[in-house]
Amino acid sequence: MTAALALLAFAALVRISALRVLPGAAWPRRAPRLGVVAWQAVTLAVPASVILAGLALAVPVLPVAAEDMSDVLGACAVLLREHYETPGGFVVGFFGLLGAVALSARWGFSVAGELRTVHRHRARQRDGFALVSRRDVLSGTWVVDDERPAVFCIPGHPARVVVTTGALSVLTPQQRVLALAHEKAHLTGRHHLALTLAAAARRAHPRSRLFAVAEAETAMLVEMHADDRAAVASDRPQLAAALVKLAAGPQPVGTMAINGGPAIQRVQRLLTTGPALTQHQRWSIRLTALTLMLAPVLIAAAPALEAALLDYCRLPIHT
Amino acid sequence: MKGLGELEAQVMEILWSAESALAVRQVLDALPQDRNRAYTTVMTVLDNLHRKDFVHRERVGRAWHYRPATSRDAHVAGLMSEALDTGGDRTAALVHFVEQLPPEEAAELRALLDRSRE
Repeated sequence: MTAALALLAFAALVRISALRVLPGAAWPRRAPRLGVVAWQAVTLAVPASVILAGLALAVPVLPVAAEDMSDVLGACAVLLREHYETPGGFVVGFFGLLGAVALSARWGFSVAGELRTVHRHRARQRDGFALVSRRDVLSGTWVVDDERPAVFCIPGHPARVVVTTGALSVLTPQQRVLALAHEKAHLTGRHHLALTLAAAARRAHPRSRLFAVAEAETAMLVEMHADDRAAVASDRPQLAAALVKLAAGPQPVGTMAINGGPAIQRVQRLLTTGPALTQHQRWSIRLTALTLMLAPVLIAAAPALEAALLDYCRLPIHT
Repeated sequence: MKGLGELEAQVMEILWSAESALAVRQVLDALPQDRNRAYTTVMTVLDNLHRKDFVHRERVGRAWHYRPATSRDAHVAGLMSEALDTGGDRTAALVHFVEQLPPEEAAELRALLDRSRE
């Protein structure tokens, strides 16, 4: 019971502090990749804690779980059950298990559903553009005749960078190189995986504010990371200019008004170079993210470890 | 199988510029004669295009006749609006260089850039 409550409290704490601290913090914009890692850690730690809380409630009423764990830990099943003791007994344990299974299934289906949607969408785009674009071997891009300026990549196998003639005509040669380097940084940085996780979390919990914020922040931070990878300091104003040119293209039909926040933040960021994070700061962020990931498992296992380490089991002696 | 992609594009161009549905033989004859292409290769390509929903086919006598599912312009327009539509139900399918902005926000961006140049 204590473990389950501690896990639920941990989940709530992570959720509240992530929403309060991360969106306004300056460091994710200075070290965008670490920012993405932090959001991913939060995105996984919250549901993992809740699932483990359900399982912790269920341990005492699950004979198999207790036997298995006691084998592994060298404690006896009776003690394990005692350490996970739940007032309310069977009913609470049953609902804990039900909740854990339901939440795991929900996440499993969301991740699978998101992967399937994304895969189908990409295949359609890749096959469709292959029919109407010419391959520019030199830059490794697919050029499609369309006056709307756009540069984007289709991740997957094989990955493609697509450029419209509209984009080529408004960009200077240097800006073209920078825009393409930005897209290639997305591909080599495997940014689509972070985006897919964020999208799957939102699919699992469409009304959650945490996952909505996590998705928007992840989308912006991967762009900032790609900006950093694409342009050395002296090129950053040119990348900003390319960004402004493409963002200001004619509105495509059927596109909704998009919040301009991220683009403006990126341009500002490219034009004013802030100090980089110190190694010390980077390591503390990494350690925090790692702690977020490990803490749920440690809290869930604490009673079991205690049973194994501190107690001994009085076995009935058979003669 | 590599190289079929290019042939798919060529075959589509032929179908798009044709007045009516074409049989495999007609597509083969319309292809540039620089290489000795097998009838079955063209058949495979048309079959792939059909599987991907880019062409429709109908049976005329004993042979299949193929025509594009949409005009070339509609094909490009459909892909582009799908590619550019990042609002609403956004998926992680494509990663954009930058999303397009409404005019007033674009103006704000331009002002920002101009100020930095002064």
